[in-house]
Amino acid sequence: MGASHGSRYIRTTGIVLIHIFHIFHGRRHMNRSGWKSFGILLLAGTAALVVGLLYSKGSADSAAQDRQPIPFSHQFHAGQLKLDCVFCHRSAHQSPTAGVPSLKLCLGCHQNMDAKKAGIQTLLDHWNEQRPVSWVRLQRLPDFVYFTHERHLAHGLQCTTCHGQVEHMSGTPRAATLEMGWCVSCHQQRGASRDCLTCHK
Amino acid sequence: MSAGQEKTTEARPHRWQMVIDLDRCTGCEACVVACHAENNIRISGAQEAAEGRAINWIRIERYWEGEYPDVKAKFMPVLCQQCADAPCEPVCPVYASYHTPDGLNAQVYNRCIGVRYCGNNCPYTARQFNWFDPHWDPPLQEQLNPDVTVRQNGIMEKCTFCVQRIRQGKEQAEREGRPVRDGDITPACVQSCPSTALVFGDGNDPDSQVAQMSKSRRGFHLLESLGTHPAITYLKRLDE
Repeated sequence: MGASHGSRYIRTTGIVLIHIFHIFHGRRHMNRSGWKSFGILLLAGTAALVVGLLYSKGSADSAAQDRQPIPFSHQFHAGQLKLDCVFCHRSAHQSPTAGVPSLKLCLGCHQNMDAKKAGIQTLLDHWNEQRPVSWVRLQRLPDFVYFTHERHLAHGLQCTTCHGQVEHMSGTPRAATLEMGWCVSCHQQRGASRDCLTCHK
Repeated sequence: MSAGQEKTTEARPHRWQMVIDLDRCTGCEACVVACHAENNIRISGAQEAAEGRAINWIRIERYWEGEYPDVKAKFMPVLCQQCADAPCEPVCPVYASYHTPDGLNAQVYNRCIGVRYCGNNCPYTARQFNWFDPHWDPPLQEQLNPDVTVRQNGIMEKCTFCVQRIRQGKEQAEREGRPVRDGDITPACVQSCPSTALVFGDGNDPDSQVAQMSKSRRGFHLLESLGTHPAITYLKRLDE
């Protein structure tokens, strides 16, 4: 995830900077060119730190992006109400994508409930205006990756293996990096195909 | 997928092959159009084509024979020959170009760094380089195939024998718990050929149409002397 990636990066860069400082500071008589090269190294180090931080932030999504138009809670629906994942994500067993439930499916339960909570009122407003909810997509794979929910479920994987204990999560954060090393380690353990074209298209 | 399950449906490795009957080819270029639509191939204008920057995974080579008025046009569809001993593969410094267990010469786009050694080493000029970012005038971007990567500027691309359709065919077979049958999988060019000049199938299946046809006495391979052992067999025209 972005956070751990970033902190590891800061730590290593920090150690390198301290070492550079010690090397130069240890000199009895630091001449002008010595200070100059120290300055250049310091500048380069800071630049590397900034670029690295930006890169590590961009490489994986973080929970900070989890700003849904309606404060939907998996913890409540999957945890307390014990709804099955595929009750809402209906196409997971049949198609590459798990699917986001239609507004009609939400209303199946929600139309008979009182709309005291602001989120539920927003949902009903969407229904009355016949306007779909613009959920923010959090689990996104690059264009060059072929992934199918159907095959993974057919081979006995559980939703929680990749998506984490969603019933204990209030939002919809990412539980895994969804990066290639993570995919490959599981494919390796389970003896699944590791041919490039299995997942790359 | 466990190794055991894989064995039940994938008992025998596939070897995808194609037969192109030159006697049937009319040079209509339906295969070229179908390939462009299926594989998200970028559209190059006349200018780019004139500069040699156009991309076609399959092309129709045209030969004129004889003097006017006794002129004959001869056509030959040329695509990646999916060589068993492919010159493009060992030269890639990053293993973006590699051989799949099914015998395809694959190109892993996200791994490619665009050194173009593979393209230079291909005797069939079947590989093309993306000199520009792809662009589709609206609303053409709406017809992009979601099963195929949109290749960006700076990488090589080539015919995949419509690997997305191969994958789909295999998945369907696995869903139904049976091996892949002959005719289950048809690449876009094969599907669109009005005179069925192109035939595709599993060469390791002795009963498949492609295995039968490739034994024909008319059969030959492109630049056979190079020893690339292509997966595509051409059948000579009958008047030759």
